[in-house]
Amino acid sequence: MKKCKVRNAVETYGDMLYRICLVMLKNEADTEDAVQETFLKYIQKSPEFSSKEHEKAWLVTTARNQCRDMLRFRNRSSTESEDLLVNYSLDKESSHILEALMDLPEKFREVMILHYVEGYKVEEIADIIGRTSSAVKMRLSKGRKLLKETYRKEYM
Amino acid sequence: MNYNKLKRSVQNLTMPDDMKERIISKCESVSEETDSADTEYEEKYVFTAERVPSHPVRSALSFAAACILCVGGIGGTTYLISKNGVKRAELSSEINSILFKTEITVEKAVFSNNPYVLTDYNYIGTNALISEKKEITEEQKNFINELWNKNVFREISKETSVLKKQAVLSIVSDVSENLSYCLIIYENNIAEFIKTENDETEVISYYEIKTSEFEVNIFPMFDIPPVGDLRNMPVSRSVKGEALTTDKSLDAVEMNSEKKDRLAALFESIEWKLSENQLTSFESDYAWLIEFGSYEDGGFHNYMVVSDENGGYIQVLLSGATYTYDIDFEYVDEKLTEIFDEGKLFSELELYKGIPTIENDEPQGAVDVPEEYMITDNLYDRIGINRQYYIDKLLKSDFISDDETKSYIYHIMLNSVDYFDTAEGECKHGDFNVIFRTDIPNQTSNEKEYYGDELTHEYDYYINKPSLIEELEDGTIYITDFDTPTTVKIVKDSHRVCAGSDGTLTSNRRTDWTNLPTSREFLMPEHIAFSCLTDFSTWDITGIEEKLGRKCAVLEGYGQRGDFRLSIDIETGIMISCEIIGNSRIEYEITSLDLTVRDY
Repeated sequence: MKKCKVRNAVETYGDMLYRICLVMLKNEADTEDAVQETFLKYIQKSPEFSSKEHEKAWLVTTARNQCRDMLRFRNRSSTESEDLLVNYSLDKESSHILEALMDLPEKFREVMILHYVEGYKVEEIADIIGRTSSAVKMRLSKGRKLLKETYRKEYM
Repeated sequence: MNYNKLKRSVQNLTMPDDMKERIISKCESVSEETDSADTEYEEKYVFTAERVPSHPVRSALSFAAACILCVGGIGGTTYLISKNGVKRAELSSEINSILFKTEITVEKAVFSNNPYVLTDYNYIGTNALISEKKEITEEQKNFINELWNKNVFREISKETSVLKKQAVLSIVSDVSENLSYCLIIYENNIAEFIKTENDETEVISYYEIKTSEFEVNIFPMFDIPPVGDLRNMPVSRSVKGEALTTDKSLDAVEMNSEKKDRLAALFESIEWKLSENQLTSFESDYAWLIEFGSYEDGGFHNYMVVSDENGGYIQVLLSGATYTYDIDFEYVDEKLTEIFDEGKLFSELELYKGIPTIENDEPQGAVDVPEEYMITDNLYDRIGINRQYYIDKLLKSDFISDDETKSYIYHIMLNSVDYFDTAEGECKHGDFNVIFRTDIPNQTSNEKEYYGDELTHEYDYYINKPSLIEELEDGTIYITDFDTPTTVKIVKDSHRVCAGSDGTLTSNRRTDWTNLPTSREFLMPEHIAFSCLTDFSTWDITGIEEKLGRKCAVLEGYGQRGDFRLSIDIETGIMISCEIIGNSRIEYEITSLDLTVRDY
């Protein structure tokens, strides 16, 4: 794999994978590890991609699985969301929304970010996380409810 | 809720430029290696599928995870060993011997001429520590020799070898009591050839394994899943719950030896069959998680997940490699329920029966810590361990290696954070020197890691939060209130291992926020306590020595990683030095220390 291809991939997908992993792991050091591991797998083990979308979905799935493995046996603890977000230039409302998102349980966080931020459809998310479409819909529904509750309770 | 706002907010989280550059740099270096290797294979080596006479050397290898194309056989039988297992070859194809042609031969004679070639199935990080040696079969030995005859190894530079990753196989040949050779093969086809003489270890050469087909799992990772290792594992736990991924807390059971034996017997009774559908991730609404292994070296765990999903399967992970087996789930579930006896969840560690600890029950479902659980100057002596009693005993008594004193040492190692406020100093950890500072009352910590003079990492943490409350749904609550240091909840030793709210098993401590990656192993040495000291019969307190001005108990014993010698500060539980002699010698130590002991 050519060097420029690696750089292109990181430039193209790095931010997306970074925010997915950061929201999942809530720890910047773990996030760097997860993103790096994802790209290493990309250059070493990725299949022939039929399209850009295929490539993107493969990266998202790999990053998500990497995060889940790390969550299962993580050594570092998650950082409090307000401390995690302190390095970003966020207005107050954005910061509060993100904190509320970060407070959601992992399984809701991942479908919420994939759907509302990365724009994946329910069926596509189902493929990525290996669950049925109805399960994804349920998680989105409950995730929305929890997000509203948390946001209102904490910040309104 | 405005989801466009949510989208915009999350999209503000962009990867820092320096992180991006680090990742690109790492990927490019790996990519370069891959490119160079791939090119070479393409140019030099050709796989031929032409019919050839049957190879007269080998018979079948009866294991499932072999990953090299090869042929062999007795009486004309030819076998194909692939990623999917071993099977009789449809075609009498053979890898052209040119496939393995290289310039330099590894010292095969070292292995082929010795009567015993031993191998090991426990790999921890990249250290490939030898903890259990098993004699390999003659067939396997012949197979290895045959590979060496085909010159599969190509010597590479030490610089290239730093790319080695997770070890997947180590083969040891004990020439004599004082001399042994070891070949360690890593997952990215890098190998090390190591000589150990009189406890001095030297890497003689580094190799790249010369074929892209060769994935080095010549041996199965397990005879059958973890039966062989289970009984020797110091920390083994099991949980059963509605899901490993839901918010519901799981109940954890720490296995005692009886449970380990029964579990091992169950494993031995199961017919293990690798599933054709090897799962890459796991999620289930009902599952058992059986975890065992060492917490050493970055927290690698071995675990099994038993689930009813897809008709029942077991996933086994050993140091990063996962295998899925088809099982009779109902049978296994029933047996596991019997073994772990749901009525006795969170049973006491057998070792702690009759040994001083907190007598009070843990609060059930409480959010705030009741006053009676707050340890103050007045209450401490009543419900805590009388530290001074044990310190005096250790310093004065000739006979100090009784279980009660061992229990004290074990306790302070698990709870060292309760016994000091600040620590500052330097430690040597492998090739790295680490300068650390932690200030628990002020919640700051910093660590700088140096390789020679080069600063490789710096970690800096500050938590602007007056207290840290860790709440688990089973009612165990751990509170750290740093503003009032006398309000401290000591974690009951039998509750040190617990299932978190997301089902993840954790060892409870009050110091996660410090996040010191390396010096924590010294300052909060619970990992080594769990992995080496849980079984009091395998170690002794052999004396008291003074190190860095601290009185230290010398602990000597043996564990799965080999013989060990630890120096533990008897006042705080901090590990001043650690020496483990397995296949190779590992020495970690604090080289300078400025400590403020907490005064209750």
